[in-house]
Amino acid sequence: MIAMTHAGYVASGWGIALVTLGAYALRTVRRGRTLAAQVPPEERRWS
Amino acid sequence: MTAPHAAPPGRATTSSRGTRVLGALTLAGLVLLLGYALVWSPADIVQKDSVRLMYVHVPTAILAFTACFITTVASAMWLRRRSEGWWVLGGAAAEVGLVFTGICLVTGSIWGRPTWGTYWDWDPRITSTTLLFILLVGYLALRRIDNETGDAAQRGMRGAIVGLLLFPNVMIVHYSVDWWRSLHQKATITRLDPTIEGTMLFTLMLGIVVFGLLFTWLLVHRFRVGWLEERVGATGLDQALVERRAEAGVGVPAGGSA
Repeated sequence: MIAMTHAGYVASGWGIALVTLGAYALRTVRRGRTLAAQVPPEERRWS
Repeated sequence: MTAPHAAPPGRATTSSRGTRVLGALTLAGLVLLLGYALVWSPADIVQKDSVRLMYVHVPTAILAFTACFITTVASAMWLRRRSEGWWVLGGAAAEVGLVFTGICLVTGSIWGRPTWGTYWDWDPRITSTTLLFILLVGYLALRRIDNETGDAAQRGMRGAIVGLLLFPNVMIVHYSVDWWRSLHQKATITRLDPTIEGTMLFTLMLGIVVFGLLFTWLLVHRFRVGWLEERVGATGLDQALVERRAEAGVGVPAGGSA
């Protein structure tokens, strides 16, 4: 990559998008684990 | 009815073999997309490297609108069938859609600064997308309002009616550039002769596919979380009723009199 113009804008846009999506994915998976532990296995049709 | 613990317990998660494969494909796709979006695709003659924001902004916008479409269909189906699955799907798609709409607005704002010289303008598409974001927040809030009183039918009806309004609002967002004067350009890729081509078009399409995989992965997990919330909520209500009955039973003296 040679001297990218608007590098700050590009990095901010991509950074915010990826961090937000990563944090949301992590939160969803963790929430799922907490809830799944409270439900009997036969109610979790996917497992 | 299945006997308790007849099925192998497995790990208590919302993942399955399918979501694990989808997750791996998404991660691999994201690496490839970052390569194309930030390195291998050329800079634009006019916009220079700020055009690289298009590869995140446009796919997230398309998927935000897809989420609204799913919520509207799920709301209509809930009104018709009153089944729990449609109710959970509507909420899951709206929540994922809210995240994608938020990212679309933020990346658009950042892209607007070097392109138009401003982070915000009362442009028809920006304004209507912001209204869509507010509508999604309202829809999700409305779904939770009657949780404490337990009036599920009324809660469902209100939620479904607002859910029906989401996709028509998306149509306003889409056609706003044709109906009013806008800073946004008119249709670029949804026409038969797209106005971008070569590696830039390929990278944009790759972005739509990769973010589409991520959207699907998130939607499946969020749907399962919603499904589990309903199960836990129902169990909690049953348990509370049993406890209340037990308390009432304890309160009555044995033999009927002291």
